[in-house]
Amino acid sequence: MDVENHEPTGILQQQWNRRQVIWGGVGVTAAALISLFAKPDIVSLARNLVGSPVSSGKINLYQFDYYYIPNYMTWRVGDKLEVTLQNQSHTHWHEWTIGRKLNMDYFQGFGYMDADAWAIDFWDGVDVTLSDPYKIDNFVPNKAHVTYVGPKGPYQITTGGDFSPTLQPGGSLKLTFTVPNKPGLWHFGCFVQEFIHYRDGMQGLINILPA
Amino acid sequence: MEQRIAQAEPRNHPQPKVLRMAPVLRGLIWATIGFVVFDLFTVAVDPYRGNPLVTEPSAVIGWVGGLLGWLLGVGGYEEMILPLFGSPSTWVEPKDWRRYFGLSTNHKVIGIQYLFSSSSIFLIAGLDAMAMRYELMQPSMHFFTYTGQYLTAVGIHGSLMMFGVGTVAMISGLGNYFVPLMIGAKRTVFSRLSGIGHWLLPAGALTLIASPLLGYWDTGWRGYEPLASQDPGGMVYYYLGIFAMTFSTILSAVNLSATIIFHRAKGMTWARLPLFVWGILTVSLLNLIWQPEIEMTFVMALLDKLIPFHFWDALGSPETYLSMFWLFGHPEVYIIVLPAFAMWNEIIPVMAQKNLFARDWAIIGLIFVMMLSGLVWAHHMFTNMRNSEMFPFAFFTEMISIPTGFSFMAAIGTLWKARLRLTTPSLLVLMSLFNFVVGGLTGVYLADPPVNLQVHDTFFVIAHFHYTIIGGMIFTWIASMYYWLPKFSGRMYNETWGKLLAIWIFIGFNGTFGQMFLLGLDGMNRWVPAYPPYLKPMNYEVSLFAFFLGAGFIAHAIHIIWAWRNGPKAPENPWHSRTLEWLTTSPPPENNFDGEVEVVRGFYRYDHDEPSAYLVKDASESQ
Ligand code: HEM
Ligand SMILES: [Cu+2]
Ligand SMILES: [Cu+2]
Repeated sequence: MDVENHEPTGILQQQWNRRQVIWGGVGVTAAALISLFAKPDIVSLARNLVGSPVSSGKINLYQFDYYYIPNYMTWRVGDKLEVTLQNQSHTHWHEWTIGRKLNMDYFQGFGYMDADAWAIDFWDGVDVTLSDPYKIDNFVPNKAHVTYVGPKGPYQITTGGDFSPTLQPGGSLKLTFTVPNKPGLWHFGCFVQEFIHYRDGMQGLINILPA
Repeated sequence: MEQRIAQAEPRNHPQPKVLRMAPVLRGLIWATIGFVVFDLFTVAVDPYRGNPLVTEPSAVIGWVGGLLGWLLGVGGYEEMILPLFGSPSTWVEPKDWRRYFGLSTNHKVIGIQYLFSSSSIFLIAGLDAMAMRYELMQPSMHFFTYTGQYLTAVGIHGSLMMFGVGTVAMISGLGNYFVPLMIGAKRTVFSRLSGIGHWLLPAGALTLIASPLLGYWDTGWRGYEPLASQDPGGMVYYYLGIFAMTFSTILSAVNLSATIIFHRAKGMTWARLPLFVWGILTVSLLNLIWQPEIEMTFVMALLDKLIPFHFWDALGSPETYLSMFWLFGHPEVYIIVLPAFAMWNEIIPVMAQKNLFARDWAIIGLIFVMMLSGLVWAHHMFTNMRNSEMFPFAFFTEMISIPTGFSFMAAIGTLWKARLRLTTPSLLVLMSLFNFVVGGLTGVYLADPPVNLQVHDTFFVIAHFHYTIIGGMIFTWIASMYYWLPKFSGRMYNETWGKLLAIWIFIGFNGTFGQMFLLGLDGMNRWVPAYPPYLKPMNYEVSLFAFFLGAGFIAHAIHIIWAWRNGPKAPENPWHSRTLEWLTTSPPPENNFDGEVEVVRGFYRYDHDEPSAYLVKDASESQ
């Protein structure tokens, strides 16, 4: 009785070999490891290849838990910018600082952690106008020359640390300024909650091109 | 004789189709496509501020697309979707090694797929543990850059080990392979479902491993809320990864318990059911109760993150999550060890060729552990409750050692005055008994609130549960692999190497985790990558032992793989066991038995020479 072993026509025959599985597996593993451990390198490589357009005029900068959108911007010295900072988190306070040289060398479990600010504050000596404040937690002008437009009430102007507006959940603020003559790479980040936001990825990069 | 059978011509496929790509690879490609399509769709209909390509919601929906693509690609399309719409299934399993790389409906193939997947997960999670131990060799951060990285490593290690190894290796792996053989069945009840169930496991594990792409999370394997709501996006891949892995376990539980209930051979009464099968049955019932509970908790947590709902933060009830997690979390540890308890009493009588002592009590023990396991959860929350609430939970927790003791005593009673053959499986089972006693006794201490409040969340706890899980389950898993190796492959391992490697991991294990008790008592907290310098010498030493242990596990794997392929030919029934899997050839044929199995007496009596079952090839021979 051959009925059971009779193979009906139109079935799916599998024709593939060991080499395909091995090379496929090796390739997939390699791709996975690269994407897991070399994410920043891939991103900067892609950025170098594709480039990134120069922002001008109005820029929206969104704060989430724990990242910024965008987390990379290209500015040009002398351009007039209007950055609208918006905290999109439902639950978290976030700030925006820009600077250079973050001291992370001294992290030790029971030593001190000298890493709550930048050594160089980008806003040092920059003229900036703050307008349309909504749900501002506090604001540190540091060494910037600040003009306030609109109600002064929402600001809780404090001292200590870098130039940093801190927004409550849902808050927003507009910063208007001319890009100062400080070309090169600048980092930005949020140091709220003892630096944890920064470490969890709340950071970004600004590439300032000379005029 | 010529037979005419009315048979419709297959209509839909005039030309035979050829699959030129391994189903796993096709699955990966379809998964990628599925992710991209669903992700872009989400971004298109619900653009996020600033239009990033991957956001938390789009990563979740993209993941669903990826999972569908993966399941369809590995064979689900031909085997599940076409029949669903009335076309004949076109899926034909290859008969050679190719069958392991795609959807299968054969319980033995599925069992081996599960064993392979969960061994791979064990390797990855083990390497992760090595990274953690490397970090802990120094009191300060030197390997991981951020605390979040270390904590993500801890969380991935714990989650993979619990949901991809502990709950899987013995139940879905050995259970799928041996339960039908041990009850005299030719196949399982829901074989297609079971086949697709396996492929959820690698999908879930890969999701967890990929979670750092969305951000470090720091809640460990318990996903504690409201802490988790403070975490970056990686948290959503924790929920989804575990969802896939637990779903695989649920499908196994449905299939195995239905098979045990409906597919027993003639004469296989409940009173004769083998111990391991009882273990799988009780554990499957546990799985059917508790895995959906934790899945729903995680679905709530996921929605809480995406929407957010405030179930468990200051607006909701922060302690509810603790209860919901541990309501599952404690039974989970019994899910992991019950099959091991059962396996001790499977291996010991065979190796001693002696009647199993108090067989009924061993089974009653399994059943009562299963029933009590849901009553003790709050012993994980002693630091969060009033004194008056502690007593019932301390009481129930200590109660559970009684049924546990039944299984233990059956093993000890069988060993009593036995002339045990000291083979690798029996050696590993003895080691497992020893380790589990250490884990169990320290568990009783932890159930006492005064001790618990002192050592809560220290390495004392880490030592305790690794003693029960590695000591109890992993040692027994390896013992079972050696015990059944001749059945899997028809080949034998090398006894000298087997024993040497057993002693190796025994030393490595006790050196690593024995000292962790002391570390904990000395004040070493868990979930910290940096600690006071006075703890360094012992931590350093623990790490060295841990590397030794890790190498031992890999050596066992290499030895077993070698023996599987090249070991000396094994006799038909090398251990003189009486259970049914030895009634057939090794490895078993496609349909397990070439004839009908008829069981005539129980399997655990060695005081007579009568066979416990017959293989009836012709109906007229039936007794
Ligand atoms: C080579 C063997 C292993 C070593 C060296 C090891 C080491 C560790 C270490 C160092 C931790 C972190 C402790 C902390 O800081 O909280 C840990 C946690 C854990 N391990 Fe293992 N482990 C091993 C195997 C296993 C196995 C086989 C399982 C289960 C099947 C397991 C389950 C867990 C769980 C559930 C946690 C808790 C994770 C969490 O808190 O989220 N481990 N292990
Ligand atoms: Cu922030
Ligand atoms: Cu518990």
